[in-house]
Parts: sequence; structure tokens; C-alpha cells
Amino acid sequence: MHPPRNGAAGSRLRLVNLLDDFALGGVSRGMGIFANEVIAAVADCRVEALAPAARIAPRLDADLIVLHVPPSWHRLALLASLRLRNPQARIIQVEHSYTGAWEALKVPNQARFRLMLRLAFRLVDHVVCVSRAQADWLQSVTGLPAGRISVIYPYSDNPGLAALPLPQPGARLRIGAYGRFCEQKGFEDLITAMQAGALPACDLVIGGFGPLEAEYRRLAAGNPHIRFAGRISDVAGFLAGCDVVALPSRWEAYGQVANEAREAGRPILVSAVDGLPEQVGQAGLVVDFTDHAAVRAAITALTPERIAAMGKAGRAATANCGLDRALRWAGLIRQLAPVSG
Amino acid sequence: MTNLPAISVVMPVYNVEAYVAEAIRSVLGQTMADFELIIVDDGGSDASMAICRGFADPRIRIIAQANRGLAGARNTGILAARARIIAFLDSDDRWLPEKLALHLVHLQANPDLGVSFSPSRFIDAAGRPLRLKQQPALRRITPELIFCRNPVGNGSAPVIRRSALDSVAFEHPDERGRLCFFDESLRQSEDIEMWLRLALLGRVRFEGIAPALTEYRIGGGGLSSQVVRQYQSWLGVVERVERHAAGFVASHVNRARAYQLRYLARRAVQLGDHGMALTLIRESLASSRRPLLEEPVKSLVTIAAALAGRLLGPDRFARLAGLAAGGRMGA
Repeated sequence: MHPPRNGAAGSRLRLVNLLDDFALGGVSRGMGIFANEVIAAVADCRVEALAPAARIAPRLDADLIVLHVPPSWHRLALLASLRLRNPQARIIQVEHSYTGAWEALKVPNQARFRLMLRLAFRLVDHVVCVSRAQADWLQSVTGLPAGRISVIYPYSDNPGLAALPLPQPGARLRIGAYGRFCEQKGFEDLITAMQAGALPACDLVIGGFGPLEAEYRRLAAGNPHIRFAGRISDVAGFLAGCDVVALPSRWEAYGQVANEAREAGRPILVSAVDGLPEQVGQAGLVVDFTDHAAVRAAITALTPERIAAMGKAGRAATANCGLDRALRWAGLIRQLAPVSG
Repeated sequence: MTNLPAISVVMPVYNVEAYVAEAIRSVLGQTMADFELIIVDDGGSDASMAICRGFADPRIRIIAQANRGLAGARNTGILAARARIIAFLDSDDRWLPEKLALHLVHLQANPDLGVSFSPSRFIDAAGRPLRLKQQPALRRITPELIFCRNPVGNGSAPVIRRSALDSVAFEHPDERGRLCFFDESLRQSEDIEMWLRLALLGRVRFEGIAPALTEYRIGGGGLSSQVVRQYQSWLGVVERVERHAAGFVASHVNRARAYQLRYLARRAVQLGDHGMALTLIRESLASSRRPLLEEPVKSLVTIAAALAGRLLGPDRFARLAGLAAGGRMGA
């Protein structure tokens, strides 16, 4: 009938997602987008793991290599060998972790760190940032030309979020927060604000687990309005029990939790770091969680009408977001793919 | 490297269960078989998508989105398209089997051509051909001709090079990073705005081929208020074109408005609102006499039809007009 399309082996574009850490929740869950029809139509995608101690990169049967491993001094040799051993491939670095706020907090020698970034980016063809703020920072510290950097927000599909009824706040406002219990997430600021009375008539529900759990429980001790929900396996189920969602993070390259909350029609309260403020729009507020007067003012501004309006705005802003991000990836793959012969 | 199809066909689907199977069959029956058919499910609620999924052809790709409207659905289809040439088919229209083959030859033979189009025939709600046929200019297509006469005619007629679409793409004003081709803020007249942007901003060359290869469905019924809304949307297009081609608009807007109002007067006649038709004709003549000079027959027929409808009464006029159109036009 019609000529065979993409039938013969080897005629399809091959894309390998290279990861080194399957434990990192957000990154490995974010691989799901590569199964989307619009990406699958332009490339055969698969995931491969880098051995944690690898010094030499593998030879990959790939036209495009999407690297999800953050660059570092000790991985520069690995990156160089990836380049050398895969001369046919275009390499795309996805930067999931480094941000301006992280650098300010964690990098003792800024010049040395930025030199490493510049060297690493010379070994890849393109850099994908997970937020506009991250891209602006990365461009300003590395001088990477605009044509070699893109912003594609990450996405993990959580069924049921878009269908969740909008929150109906009762007498007490239910503030949700969830994520890994570690320094980055800053949940202790929320607990402290609760204990200081900056969140009047609020219940705080914290989902997740991690190294700081004992510390959080110690800070929360004795307050009947702070509850720990444990590990979250059903995001929609957790968000159904929240009226608003707080992200008091110290750094956050993108913040998929804020995206999930917006999909669920929950207003977001976020700290002014990295990829969080650009998600707010009409869908929430930017708050300094260490300033209790500001926290109190933000919470008292959240009338039921505003909560409804913010919830709707968040939902409207995230309608079709999974498809749009997949389309952006498909476009980038088309743009970077070696020209068909 | 990849075996890409020669043409990507973009078909938005939104509550068209009565027609969509015919539209799909007219694509699958093309003599030029090297295409992909991208069906964009624009979040409708009827059985359309079940009908689409009933076709097992491997060249069909289905992409679902929450409702965005026609322009947004076409944009999603373009973004997902893999071919360097893109054809559009609205899901209530049909193509003749030679459509893609002839446009492909036309574009391949003329590398400087960005848009290849052909005239359309009109069909009624039941798919029966009407005697009406669009007879547009095919050559020397200038931006002012597009503005005044829209030779492309409708959204199911043109076959466009992807590079031409890319040359006029812009970022969605509310969704940073989403690339737009058709203007999603328009809910009507998105076609004419796009053709004008291609011609003026992209300096894209248009040319037609003679055979009528698209069957464009004219729905029966409708409301006079829709004619008013159509005029408002056309004014919205003028406003958008002014942003990038103010001098062009200033030079040609009176003549273009006269043609647009004459077209809407014909629509009002079809809908049986002859009072509105006469008002629109008066406005048209007030804007410019050039349609009367350039196309005296069509202009006078429009005036006569509006007056006749006034005199005969809507019912008798509709019967006579139906006969003249070649059969059963909806009232």
C-alpha cells in the first residue's frame, strides 16, 4: 500500500537518556516524558545508567545523548571520553541541580566552580535548563550563547491532579508541604513559623521522609496542628487534603511540587529562589518564610475567593503542560538531530 | 537518518462526529501515500475520537490536549509534525484523492514557493456538492489580494512549507516557551491573519493550482449574530496586521473592508436576514466602491439578492436561492 516508514532497523533516530542516580526521584520520574507520543514519533528513546565509579564513558548506539548527570571536576574526564567515544552523537546536558541560590549557599570558590561549568559545557552541544531563572543564571556565569541553551520545564504525570475539585477551605486553612526532608526543602521554616503563631488558624500537613525527620519532629513537638503524613505515593490523594501548598525551599532548580499543586488547583506559596517565582503568576504568592510578619500577612490575604481565583489560574496555566513540554523536547530533538541523509 | 514522511497532515478534531470519518477517509485515500496524519483531539465531548481511533492505519498519530480552539489545535499539530511540508484539513471538510500529490509536485517544482493552494468546491451538510465553486486568482498573489479577496479561501486548502511557518512563528504571550504559528487569541478569522502574516512578515510566496481539490462544507443554519461576530473578528485581524504592517493596512483597508462586508452580506442573505444584508451592503459601498468596479456582476447579484429577499419574504427566497445554488442549501 504505502512505503514502509521507519521500518528498517537503524533508520530511526536513537536517543539515550544517560543517568547516574536512579535514586533521585524527580530525575528518574521525569524520564516518563520521553515515552510521550510526540517524542516517540521523532526518536527511539531509552535510558542507560552510568556506573557510579565509571571513569570512561561507554560507546553508545545513539544519535542523541541526553545527559542527566550534573557536571563536576571529577566527571570532566568522563564527559570528555563520552564526547570522544561518541563522535557521531549530539550531546545534550540537562541541568537538574545547579542554580544561582545553590551556588550562593554551597560554593566556596565561585571562580573555580564557574570555570568547571564552562569547561563542561564546551564538551556538549546543547544545554537544557529546567527553569528560566536557572538559564539566566547559567548564561550569565558561563557566557553560553543563547542558541546553545533552552528552557524545558520537567514534567511527571500524576494521574488525577487536573480532575481534583478545587479546595473548599473550612474554618482552618490546610497548608500542605511535601518532598524530601533535607536542607534544600526548608520545611523547618514552616514549622518554626507555625510555632511562632505566624500561621493563625492553619493546619500544617507535611508529607515525605528524609534525614531531617527527627529534627522536624522535635521542632513540631506539642503542636496538635502540625501533622506528618509519611511517604506520599498518591500525590492527588495528598493534595485533596490541602487548601494551599507551601514551598519554603532554599534552592529549587524548578520545583515540580509547585507544578503539581497548580495542576491540582491549589495556590502555591513559594520562597523567592531560582525556578519557583516564575511559576507563580496569578496562582499564588512569593513569601519570605523566615520573615514571620510577611508569612502572617500572606496567609491572612488568602480569602476563600482569592484561593479559588489562584487555584483556577494555576490550573489554567498548567493545562496541557505535559504535552507542551514533550513538544518542546520533540522540537529540540528535530533541531539537533543529525541531518537525514 | 530518519525516514520522515513527505507531508504531515494536521487535522484538529472538536465535536465533529458527523463528518470526521469522511475527512479521515479522504486523507487515507490520497494517491500520494507518504504522509502522516496528525489528529489533534482538542478536548471535545462527542464520539469523534472514538471514530478516529477506529481507523487502524499506521500513518495516523493521535495527540490529545485540553481544549485550545482551532488555532491552538493546529499549532500543536504543527509542533508535532515531522515532515517539511504541512497540509491542513479541518475535520468537517474533505479532499479529492489527488490533493497531496499535486501540491507536492507544485512545491517540489517551485523551491521558492511557500504556500501552494487550490480552489475549493462547496458541499452541504450531507456532503452533496453545491453548484458553487470558489474561483480565486492563482498567480501573482500579492498581500493586498490576500487581504481583499483571500484566494486561499479556507483552512483546508493550503499546503505549506514548514520553513515558511517557522519564519513567522512567535512565542505564546501567556505561555512562555510555547511556539505559535496560528494566533491562538483569535477564535475566528485565524486563517486570514496567518496568510497575511506569512505574506507580509515572512515574505512567503503563494501560488495556486487550477483543479478544485478541497471540498469545503457550508453548514446549514446559523445566526445573524454570527455574522456580526465574524465582522468583529475580522476587525481584530486588521488590528493585529497593523502591528507589523501599519502602512499596508492604511493603504488597503477600505477596499478590503468593502469586500469583507460584501462577503458578510452574502452570508446574511444565506441566513435569510435581508435587512442585515442591505445594511452590510450599504456599509460596504461606503467603505469603497472598488468591488463594484472590479467585480460588478458579483456585487450587483449580492445587492439584488438582498433586495429580492426583502420583497419575496424569507421563505420563498430561500426556496429560490436553494435552487440557484444547485440543490439543498440549509435555510
